Amino acid sequence: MIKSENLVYEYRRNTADDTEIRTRVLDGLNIDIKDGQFISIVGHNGSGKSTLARHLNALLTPTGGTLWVNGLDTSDEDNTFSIRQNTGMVFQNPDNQIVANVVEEDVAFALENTGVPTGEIWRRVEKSLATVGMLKYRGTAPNHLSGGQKQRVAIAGVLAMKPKCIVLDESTAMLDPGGRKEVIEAVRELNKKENINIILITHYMEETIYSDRIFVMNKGKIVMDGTPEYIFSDISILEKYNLEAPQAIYIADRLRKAGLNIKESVLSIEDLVSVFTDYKKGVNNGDNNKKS
Amino acid sequence: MAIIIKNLNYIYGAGTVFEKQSLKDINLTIEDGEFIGIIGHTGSGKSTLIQHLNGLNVPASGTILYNGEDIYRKGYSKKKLRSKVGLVFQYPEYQLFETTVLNDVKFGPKNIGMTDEETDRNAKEALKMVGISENMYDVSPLELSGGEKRRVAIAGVVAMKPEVLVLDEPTAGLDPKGKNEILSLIDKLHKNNGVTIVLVSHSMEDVAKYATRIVVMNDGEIFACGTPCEVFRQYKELEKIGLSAPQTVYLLNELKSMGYDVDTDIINPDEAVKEILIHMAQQA
Repeated sequence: MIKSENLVYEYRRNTADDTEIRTRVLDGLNIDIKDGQFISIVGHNGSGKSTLARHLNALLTPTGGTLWVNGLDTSDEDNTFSIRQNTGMVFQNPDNQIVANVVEEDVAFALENTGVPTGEIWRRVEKSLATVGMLKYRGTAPNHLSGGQKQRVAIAGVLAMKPKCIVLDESTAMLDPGGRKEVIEAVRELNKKENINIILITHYMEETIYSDRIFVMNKGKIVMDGTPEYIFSDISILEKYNLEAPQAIYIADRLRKAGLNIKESVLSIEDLVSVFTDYKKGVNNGDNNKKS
Repeated sequence: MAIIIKNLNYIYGAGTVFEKQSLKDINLTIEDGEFIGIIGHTGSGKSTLIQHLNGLNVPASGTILYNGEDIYRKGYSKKKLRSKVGLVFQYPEYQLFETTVLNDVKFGPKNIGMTDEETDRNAKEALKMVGISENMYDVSPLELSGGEKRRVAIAGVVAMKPEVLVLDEPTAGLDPKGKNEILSLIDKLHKNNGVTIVLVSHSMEDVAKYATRIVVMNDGEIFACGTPCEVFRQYKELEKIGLSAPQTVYLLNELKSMGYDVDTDIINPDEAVKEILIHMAQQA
């Protein structure tokens, strides 16, 4: 569970003549994320997404207001260790977060650091790699893996810590389409089967349609918060925040505006195809398909 | 006949345990004024290939002709080549190093021997083109936002007035607005200034929208090459090699297989909407 009250974060720096300049990156956020939720965070560059993500495992602490992760105040240094064990981060560049020469050693790294007994380490490493579909690469050198595979190894490393929450900060930004799909499928599984909180930060809007809620951030504030159906129901609002809808939703929106009866819940090509399947049936039954 | 790539082979880490042939017998001609999109999974050889275009990488065998001249011939001026073929690396903003924005953009043109006057004029022109205003000339590049930094980095290459501009994933990590700014800038250079563009991208939507021809790389080889509609016609094969097609392509193909007689060669979402509406009107 993640909860914040009026969360503020300001960067401070001093100019040459010692005047302090403050830049407010997070501006009074009130968030409430329940256990097991899959949250996507979208927003333009500099909107505060990554700064928020870095608060979730106490890499950064609020300069104003309070943030609780699993009921623990992140500003209290005594809580830092416990918070980091429960909230794992996966970053953008796969090559910057792999430390070992062999996949399974990389996954075991954090466990060794935290003094988990050896037998338990092996069990957890094996289970984590199996969960992300990378067990057969356990003995491989990470530099022989594709981008998507490396990110799944990074996720396994986090998973081995048995976290309640995994934060992915643009973890798909550098991947090819196949790699992006692998990573998104892996986190969806974790969310569904292991009930782990997923916080997915991304610029690829089509990745967000599987989440329970989407936060749209703009200038340090959460300006929209709702289900994908709600967020994508009016794409002109998204455009105002410099975001764009996936092509499937864009096409559905255009067809709807042109008078076709297309339900608001269309988020993917599959949804759109099923609308046309129904249409076809309707045509055969002689129904009127146009909006009255 | 700007660039002719002939039987190009490249071996990474030759003679070491890491030896790997990362380009296998590449043959490709890039005509003047083309906008080439290069797609392929990570590790497929895209970056290795484009780093040959200005002679940075040296092939194990095969060669490249630029305007009819072998760029790997002894005595061929690489410096001159690099002033004609500009290369923008991945995350070019990490390469900004000068004290001010203007100085950073001036570095390239000065380095290739342009006069102070030319350098100044070209740098300012390039900055204007990428949408960086005069009041930012004296700002430190480190104080800019991510999108601005990247535009300044691109301006640094544009200021050298290259005939060919090669960009390696120039929009990775940018938000849709920043991405569209960079892509329309590249499109402008192509259409208005006649610059030949080679764009490496992981966004199928972007190459579909802008490229006149797409080269698909797989395991160091050219897997397919053709117009966007020719390439995305093979969307099922593309999936097998870690790629995909724009969502529009999937929709039209699904509709076709359901018995709707739509044109599956359409890759632009607006055109797809039109096509579907025409079709539905005919049915009604």
